[in-house]
Amino acid sequence: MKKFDIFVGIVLAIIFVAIYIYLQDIDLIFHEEVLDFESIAKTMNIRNMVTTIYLGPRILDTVLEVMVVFLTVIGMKFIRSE
Amino acid sequence: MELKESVILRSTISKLFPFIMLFSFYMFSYGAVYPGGGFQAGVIFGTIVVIFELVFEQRLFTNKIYNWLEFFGIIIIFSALIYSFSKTGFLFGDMYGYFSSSEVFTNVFIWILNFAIYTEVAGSIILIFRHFIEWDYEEV
Repeated sequence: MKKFDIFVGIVLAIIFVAIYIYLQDIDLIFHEEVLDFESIAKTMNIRNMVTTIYLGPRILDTVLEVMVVFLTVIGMKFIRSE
Repeated sequence: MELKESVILRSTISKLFPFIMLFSFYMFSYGAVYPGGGFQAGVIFGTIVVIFELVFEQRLFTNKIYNWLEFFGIIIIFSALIYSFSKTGFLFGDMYGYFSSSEVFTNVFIWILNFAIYTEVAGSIILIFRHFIEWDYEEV
């Protein structure tokens, strides 16, 4: 059991070192569009950034999903009436 | 043993039912400001009604009421779609501008649309379930 714990510790240490070395090569870039989303969130009183970004496409997406459900009900009624 | 004979199921569903209903209202009313929205809330509503009907073996409301609920939602969605398209030429265009300082009604249009989707999906889920049950019963 003790050998297994040491083995897991070594593996985890190697993973952490690998991640640390990998992260050093990543350049952090500030996306300017975040400022636009921030102003939209302030104007529309939205409290969540995900909602701010996804609000527009989500409506169309949801309406299409609703149409699918609605057509399912109509289809079932039609098949049962046959 | 049938579902309605289980004391655990009956007491759990009867205790949780109002809270799950409340959670579904919360989900759709906060859909404009938080992730989540009408579709999920409608599914939650539909599911708890279906579970209730399965466990207690009784119908909460008639099919006609759920048909009207579904129809009501569809009418609001199509009205908003036609209005926005005739006004701006885009689907749901120029409708994000109606907002208030209130936390729940922060974006009025999204709130109304969420409500429409909520009623439509809730009605549909229950109707689909009932059609399957009746279908199965007719075949037997």
